[in-house]
Amino acid sequence: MNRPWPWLIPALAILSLAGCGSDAGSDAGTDTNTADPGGEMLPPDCPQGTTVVLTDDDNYTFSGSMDIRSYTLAALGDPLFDWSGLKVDLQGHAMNPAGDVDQAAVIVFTNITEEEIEAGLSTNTLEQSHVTLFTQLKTAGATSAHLSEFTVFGNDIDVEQYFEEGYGVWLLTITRGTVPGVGTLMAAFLRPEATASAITLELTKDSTVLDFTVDLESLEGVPFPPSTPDAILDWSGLTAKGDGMEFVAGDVDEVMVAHYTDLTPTDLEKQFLDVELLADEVWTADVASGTTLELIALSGATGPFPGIDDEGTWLLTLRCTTCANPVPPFLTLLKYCQ
Amino acid sequence: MGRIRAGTGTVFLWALLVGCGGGSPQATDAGDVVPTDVVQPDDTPTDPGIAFDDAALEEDSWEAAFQVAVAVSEVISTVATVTWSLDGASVDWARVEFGPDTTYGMTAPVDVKGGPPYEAVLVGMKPGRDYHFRVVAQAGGVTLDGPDGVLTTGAVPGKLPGVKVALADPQQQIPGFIVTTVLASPPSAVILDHEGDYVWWYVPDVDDDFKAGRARLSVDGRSILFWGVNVRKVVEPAVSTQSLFRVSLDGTRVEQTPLPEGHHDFVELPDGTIAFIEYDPRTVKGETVDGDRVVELAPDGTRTEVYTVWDSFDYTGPSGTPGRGWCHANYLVYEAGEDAYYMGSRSWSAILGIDRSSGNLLRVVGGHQSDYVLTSGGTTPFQEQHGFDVLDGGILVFDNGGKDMLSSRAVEHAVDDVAMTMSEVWSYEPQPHLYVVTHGDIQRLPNGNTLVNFSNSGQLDEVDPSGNLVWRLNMSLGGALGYSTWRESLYE
Repeated sequence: MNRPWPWLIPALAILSLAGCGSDAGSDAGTDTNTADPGGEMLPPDCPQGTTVVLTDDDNYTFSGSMDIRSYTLAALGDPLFDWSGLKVDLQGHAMNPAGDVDQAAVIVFTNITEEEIEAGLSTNTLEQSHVTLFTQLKTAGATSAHLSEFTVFGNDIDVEQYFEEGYGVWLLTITRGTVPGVGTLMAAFLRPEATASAITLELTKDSTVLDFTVDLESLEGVPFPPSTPDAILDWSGLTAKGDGMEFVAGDVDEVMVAHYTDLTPTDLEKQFLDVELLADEVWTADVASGTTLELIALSGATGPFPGIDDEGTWLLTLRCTTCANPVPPFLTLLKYCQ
Repeated sequence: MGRIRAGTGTVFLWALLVGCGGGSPQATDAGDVVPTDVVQPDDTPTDPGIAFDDAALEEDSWEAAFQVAVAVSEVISTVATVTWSLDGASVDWARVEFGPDTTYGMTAPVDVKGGPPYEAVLVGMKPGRDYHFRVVAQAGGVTLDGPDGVLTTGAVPGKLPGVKVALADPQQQIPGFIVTTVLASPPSAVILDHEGDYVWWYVPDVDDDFKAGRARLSVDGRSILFWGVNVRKVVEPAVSTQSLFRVSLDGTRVEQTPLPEGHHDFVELPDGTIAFIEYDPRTVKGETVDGDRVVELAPDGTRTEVYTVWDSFDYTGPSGTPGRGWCHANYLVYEAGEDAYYMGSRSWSAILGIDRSSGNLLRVVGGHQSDYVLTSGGTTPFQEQHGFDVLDGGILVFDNGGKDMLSSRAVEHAVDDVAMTMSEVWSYEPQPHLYVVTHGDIQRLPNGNTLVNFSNSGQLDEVDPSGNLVWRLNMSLGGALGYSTWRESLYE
């Protein structure tokens, strides 16, 4: 079953697409193909051997900023968090507030501002030392919860006693799944103020807004040999992520190849949050460790990855499903070669 | 020098005939054995540079064959097992030296009592590196150096949180290893070296309520023991998967001993007995109250209750910290010198000394029922503390601090057992301040420095006696840590 990106904090997308100047709508990579004397485009030559080596030049570019709305609430109270009216998640996907939310978390950060948290979540650069309290609650179908119901891994510390002005930056998240930091559906900052009277926070689709830029059209595509089940993917040489930050090989825990029969890179740019949902077929493989993968390990609904052909668009991503911002650190197009 | 190269998850086996007049190397296939290189006789050292004991060994006996195999664990790719034998010789003792170059630097012991083939598990290596190793053995009073080999360690699982050593003063900081846990993301037992590299890890298959709270190297040096925190609200069931895990160093063998009521901390005694904190709920005037006790589990499975707080304290009502139980014991130390346990109570901000043989309460340090008073007044030397280290003439405590402080610290108190007083002699608070609500640990190091573990904040600080920070490790977001133990070596 296809899944949306498991964002932590992203995103009602306000798309400000870069690299959209081309209206060709053609597959990326065709500009590097060669024409035979008769004028027809020929697929490029495949690299020698069966190892497909990924380089920084093959990677897409991504930049984004995050705006998490702040809600002022009465300090030292026991505020109620209500997501019963939340019908759309961060990614703009329809959601069931009772059935899709497995856990809520209230995280208290110290020695850091709301803006720095937003930036740190975008770039996966926050450190645990910024966290002074991590409290959570399994929602069990509920669509609201009081702060007093949250515990530190089951340890009821009366977190509401800390809910006062000047004590840290408070972040509320609701998530699909119970793995801390993964699968966030919506988020909001809480601001306890002594003079405030509000005691209820209603999450809406506007509680968190992501403004991002993604460029797929500039990708030339990685030549990929067809029908090579013994091919090896090698990303050991990568140094930078799509957002320009350092590429940490250990972050990669999944490889995904997706095929789109009718969609172009331009189409995918416009619906970037849904690239997995839109795929006609997806093949994935877990990466426990290391920087290579035998492609025979990729599997999808119809079986093992068969290799690519010259139809439609082929996308390859290296993913970090446990990162705060799971925007793929690496994403590229695969180009049929001979 | 000829070398053998081995990679992650593969086994490399070679036979080396040392100085046997041109005998061919004997590479033996062992399943997935893939010899990639063979040490040629010409490459080998011809003389280990030792004096021979003629009475014990003929001069050319040391030239017997070393047969050595090395396999990098497919479970923990920074751990390798060296298996070897020495043809024609009875081995008195042996070790395997290993390190990033041919100066080695680390030593793995070999138990030769059982006879060949001998085995050594190499642990403490960084991921993704080449490591040299060699067998050093004594036969008939002669010490023989085996050939140098090379293995390559694998990568760290991506699901473990990132680690960064943010500050290090090599002149003042003491190298070594930190045995600890990642509480939740994912719950796991890990060992970090002083450069912040994972050298060992194990991620159990447990339910999502399991939070890994304590890991220790077993006393026999062959396993890592760990378990979950298992905090519960009063009356609610404990975590269903709470067990004591015993994981072999290469990760291939895992034993699980269910201890559903055990929580927070355990310690292994020299004879292999496991002592642990266990819930001891009782009904008082219709109310179920969680007390705590110290229980021993002997290697043969015999279970013995050593002490329960119900024998020393009367329940007089809620402790003022709802949801944390009455006592909320959270830390356990065994002091072999006095054959006593020390158990920390968070709710009481106290540490209880317990005579192991009689189960009698020896002393209460801190809190309202403290046997000691502060020379500065009062009986509250620390609040809601977690880890502590019993010193000669004092106690070192991770003082979480209460709601009124919102800052955690390390504090050392001198304890006068005659005057029954305590006096603060040292303390440390990081900059910026950190407030750690749960966990936190502390240890006095051999060089006089102190390791302070701000668990939930994922920060470890090494501080010198003057309070200067000489080393700091930070975990990435999600890297909340459990208790920790510094060790100079993973073999002692």
